[in-house]
Amino acid sequence: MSEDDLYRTSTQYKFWSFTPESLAALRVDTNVAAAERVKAAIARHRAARRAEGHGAGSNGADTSASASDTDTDVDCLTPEEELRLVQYYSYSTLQSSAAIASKGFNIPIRVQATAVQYLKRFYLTNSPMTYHPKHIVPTALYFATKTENHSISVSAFAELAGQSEEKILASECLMFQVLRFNLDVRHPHRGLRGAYIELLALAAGEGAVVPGTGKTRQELQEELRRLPLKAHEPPAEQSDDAVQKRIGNAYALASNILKDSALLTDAYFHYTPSQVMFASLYLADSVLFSWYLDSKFPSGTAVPDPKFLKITVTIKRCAELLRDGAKAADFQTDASRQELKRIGKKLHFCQNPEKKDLEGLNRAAKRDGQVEGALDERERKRRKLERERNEQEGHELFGGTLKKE
Amino acid sequence: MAMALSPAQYIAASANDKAVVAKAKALTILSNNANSKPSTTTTATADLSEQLNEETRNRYEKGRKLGEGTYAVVFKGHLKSDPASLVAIKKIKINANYKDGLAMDAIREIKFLQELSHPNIIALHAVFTSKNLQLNLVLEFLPRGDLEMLIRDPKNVHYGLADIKAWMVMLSRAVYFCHQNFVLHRDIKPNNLLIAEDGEVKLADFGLARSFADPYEKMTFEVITRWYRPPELLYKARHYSGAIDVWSVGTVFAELILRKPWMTGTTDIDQIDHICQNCGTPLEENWPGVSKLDNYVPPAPSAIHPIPNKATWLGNFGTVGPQGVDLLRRMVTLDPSKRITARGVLEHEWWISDPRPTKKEQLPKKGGGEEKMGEDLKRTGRDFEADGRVDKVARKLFP
Repeated sequence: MSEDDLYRTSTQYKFWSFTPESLAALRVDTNVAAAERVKAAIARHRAARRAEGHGAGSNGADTSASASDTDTDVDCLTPEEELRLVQYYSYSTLQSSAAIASKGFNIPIRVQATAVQYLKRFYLTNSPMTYHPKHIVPTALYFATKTENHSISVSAFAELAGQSEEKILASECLMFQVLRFNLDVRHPHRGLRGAYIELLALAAGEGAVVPGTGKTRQELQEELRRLPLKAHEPPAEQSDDAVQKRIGNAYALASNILKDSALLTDAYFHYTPSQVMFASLYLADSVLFSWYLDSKFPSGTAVPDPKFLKITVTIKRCAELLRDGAKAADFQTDASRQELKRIGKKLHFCQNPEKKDLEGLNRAAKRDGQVEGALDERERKRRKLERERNEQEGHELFGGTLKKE
Repeated sequence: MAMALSPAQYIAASANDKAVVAKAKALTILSNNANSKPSTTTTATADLSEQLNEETRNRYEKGRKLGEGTYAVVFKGHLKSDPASLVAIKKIKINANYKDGLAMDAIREIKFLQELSHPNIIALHAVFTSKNLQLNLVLEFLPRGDLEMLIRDPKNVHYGLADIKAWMVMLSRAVYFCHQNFVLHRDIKPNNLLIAEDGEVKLADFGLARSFADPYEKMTFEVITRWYRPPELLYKARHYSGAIDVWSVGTVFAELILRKPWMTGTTDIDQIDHICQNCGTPLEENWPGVSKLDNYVPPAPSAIHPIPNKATWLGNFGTVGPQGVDLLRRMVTLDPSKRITARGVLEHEWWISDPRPTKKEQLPKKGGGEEKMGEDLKRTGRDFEADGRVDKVARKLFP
């Protein structure tokens, strides 16, 4: 079985790989379905409140308020706005990880990366209008620490993340289900490390030679020394130290790309981990990348191997995606802040009222299966308080941030 | 290089939606009143994932209970559409003592079984949650019990060299496949080797499995049931490889030959003792670096057991022939870096020497396997593991 064959048996390939067209179509479907449900839910919600108002009778002010907001149409998020929001919360997942790390619990990149993919997969079939991302981020992160074998107790995590335990666990089952119980996420990070180690070995004249390429180790080492520093430049003549340094720089740059734009774009949905890895290397040092790939193919042929061309085209396409993604993922500019604020405000008015109280829903679901006595008074009060607190939080325009600043 | 770019295989979202919306409209508004308890079970607000889940759940019919433990209940079941296609449904209990959400064993088991599809690894057909959010794993039905059952019943079960070879090659293929997929099983032992109706051996219980660690990442040494645990774990190594599983395979091999567990330490120290006596005392000379492991205590010169010679091995395990003995010795080599790899195992000459492995359909069988499967699948959960954790609450995994 080749590596390709093995990859094709993964759930990432079978269930979470898409063409750009199919991915876009899926997002539109999700958006349309969620919008319909939100409108229906808000209508029910308003009707219920009106009914309450009539029943109470005395509270005239409240009744008129409910009546007036019946008239406003629900302005739902567009698929583009949803996408932008999810991208922001992917970014905020990485920020939260950094904040948690600064409090003493280091979260390795593979855990962060898995959490971001969980979040992105979650919102392929769910809309932020149904489940606000601010509730899903802590769960995605905690869930990823568990699935990536880096877990701590939920109480410790809750404290680090500045969240309630119940809140974190409330959507865990939901998330698991939405992920179709697929937990394994394949990342490009280890592959990059492998490429780095191999390049260093090649530079030292110790690299493994692919049979049939017709080159010796020494020739490969010599080529690396003479590799132009930039595309279209004449061959260089570099010391082994300089070559090593070049490889180190390329690795560091590529590594950073894999830590952000690879996670914030749709790269994982469209490309395999090795393609993403090579694309990051291409962006970091295109000459080095081209030489590296070329070294795996027979040399001195008149016509380039069609496989070589296909691979190059794919990787360049992936590199473009990563490059554009880096721009889009800059959330520090005023323009993007304004944009997010606007979307956040809009979301506040089109949030599905029936899905706001995730903890309550979770408790109810657990209750449904178990025979349980009536709630005691204190528990009922506690829940009511919690519900009110949640609603309060819902009123903050863009939600409570995951980390305390 | 992988060049996979698949078309969408996602279930179209829109197909069922219209019906759902219609149902939603028909529902009364009262259940959504803010003061009543929230309701999740109605299809009114069912998400795509809930619909998928319900579809999966409805595909199976739960039958009689095969076993029940503190961690899980195991049922016999079948596809509603085809009563002849049997499955085992393992329902994970909500553990009141476990406050950290979904149990780690269940997470690990599902994570790896979803990815590993191989004739010698138990198949996970589906996963669904029941209404109270309990996890249900729909597993391959393996009605012929496990290897332990066969080993421990010499009165009724007779088997020979060709049978051992058949079981061993199936186990070795499973382990190789795991390692090829960068997965360590970390709990190989005879009662995790279940037997299908046709005699095929299936590696089960991935509750302790994990992916290969990143360089320098620490792993827990508290894995693998003691009798099957390699010396590096007993010495508390925090970095290890597929060699740990190969050791376990070797101890299973020995157990198949002896028809009783080979090295039965009563404590971890006692287990080290057994290993020293049977495989030789680990020393810097035969295992460079061993003295740096945390739990290693240099033995008194008088207490050193030399590595047994070929004749001793042949004396104890000669029934499998010189090649078989050679393979066993390589599997239980003290130094993990010199131990044979899972791939090396499959390339060993024992497999092609006479006799050929028995055909799976002709392997010895025993009744009562359904209950045994229930027993095997329901075992107590091991929720905690110290891999890279900040708090050091590692539970003792084994008595």
